[in-house]
Amino acid sequence: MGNQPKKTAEGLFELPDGDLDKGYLLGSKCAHCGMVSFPKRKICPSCLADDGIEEIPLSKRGKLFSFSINQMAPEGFKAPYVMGKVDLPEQVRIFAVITGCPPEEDALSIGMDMEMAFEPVYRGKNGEPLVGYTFRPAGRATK
Amino acid sequence: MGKPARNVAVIGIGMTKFGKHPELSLKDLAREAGWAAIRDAGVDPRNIEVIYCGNSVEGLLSGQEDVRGQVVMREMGLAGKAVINTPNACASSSTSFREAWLAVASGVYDIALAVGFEKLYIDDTAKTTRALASCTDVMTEGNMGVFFPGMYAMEAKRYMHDTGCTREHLAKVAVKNHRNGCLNPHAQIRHEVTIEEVLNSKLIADPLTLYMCSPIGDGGAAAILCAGDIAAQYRSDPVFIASSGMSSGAYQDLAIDRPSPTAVQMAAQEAYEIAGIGPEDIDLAELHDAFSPAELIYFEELGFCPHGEAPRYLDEGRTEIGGAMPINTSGGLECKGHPVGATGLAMIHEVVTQLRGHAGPRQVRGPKVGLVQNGGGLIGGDAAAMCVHILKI
Ligand SMILES: [Zn+2]
Repeated sequence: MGNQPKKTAEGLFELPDGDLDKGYLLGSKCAHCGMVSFPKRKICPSCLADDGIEEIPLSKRGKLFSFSINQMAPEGFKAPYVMGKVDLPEQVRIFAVITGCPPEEDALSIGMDMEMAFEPVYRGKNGEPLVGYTFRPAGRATK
Repeated sequence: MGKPARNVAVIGIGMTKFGKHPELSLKDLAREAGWAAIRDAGVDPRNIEVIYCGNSVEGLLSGQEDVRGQVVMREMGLAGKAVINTPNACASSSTSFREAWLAVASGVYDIALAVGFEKLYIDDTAKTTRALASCTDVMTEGNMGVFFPGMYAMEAKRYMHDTGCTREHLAKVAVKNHRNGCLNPHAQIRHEVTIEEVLNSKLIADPLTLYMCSPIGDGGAAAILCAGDIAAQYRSDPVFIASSGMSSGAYQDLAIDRPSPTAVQMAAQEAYEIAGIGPEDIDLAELHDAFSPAELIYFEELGFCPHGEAPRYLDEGRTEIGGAMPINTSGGLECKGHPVGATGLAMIHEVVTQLRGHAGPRQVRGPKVGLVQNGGGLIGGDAAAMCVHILKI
């Protein structure tokens, strides 16, 4: 604990105390129009306000907008793997890899409840695991 | 938004055969396409005043990250002229074409060359795949496991969920485009397939199978544009550019509850408005079918039919060469091929060929107005660059 794992990217999410279970995505919310954005912004993409933009943690649960089970994989990933887009209650749609279920069509369905997780997503240049955000079907902890 | 200051014509087109060309360098591909367009126009290349070059990922493949157009022009014998590079993912050479149009329409230049070129077959497929992933927001998507067929598979799955489009419909698009590709000597893939063969071909990312996906390839394509009032000096059958609309994605992922028009809808609206026509006036179109479902989705977004109706139009044969609204007579990206930086100008090549009446066995009967829709890259769930060109005689 306390040791920050290496991240896939900076500025997208926080891992308090280096604890993966405490992880959350960093969004921003506009005080003028209520628009929530991910990644976080300095300027509101809806009303273009450049003040009153507050950094907020995003919800960790959402609904599956769509998904794909990829039979080929880019570098750093192993086929088959699953990716999806999840709609959060803040009206933000997040693209991420999906884990915690077999890479099979009937393991997932559009509209189902998903929960966010933080875990190694792929390996860096020197083979070190890089932690990023993923989603998995809700209520099916696989630790 | 205003009207172009003057009319612009396409007087020359050229392209290489698309496919795997280990014997040809990137420079060879550009030279072959560019000089084919010069000869087709009958223009003295010394009179070309400005050149727009479209290429997407050569920088990441060979290290030629900058001044790619100038390097190619040196090979073509056209050094010394103004060269503008327009990398914009799969819409790179559509962007070249649009910028060339604006340059001539402004009155500053009379004759422009637009050329696109790409060499994706190298010895290292993983390197090509990685380079293409740079056509996203690398930090939030490219590095997070983005896989282009999977991105389209997600769109397709959602579209099927919302509309009743089936796997057979997606296969039918591929069957049609394979049939068309057989009739196109420039096409990379020239064999017919059946619905069963498409559905049983290698699964890439359900619902997408291999035959529903465009192949990677090498190729070049080019066009010569000139001021409308001098076009008759070069040829008796110039094709005019009615408009070229362009947008970048609305990035709808930002606010699900505040839906905005898609990149295609925005680019199309601009193109229709400048041209002063609507989708009902279009006689044929080349659409960006990098994957089969995209043809159906874009067909609707361009206003050719109401949302959810594209599969029915397909079932009724309306998008066949002999139908009321032929789509991708060239074989589309799926069969003509998709060397990304050359793709846009190759789509324009097909529509110009059709409007001239030179498309041989795949000729549509008497088209007057054609449309090209070419998108590039993906950011936040929408295209990074989207072009819609309208051409007419
Ligand atoms: Zn706002």
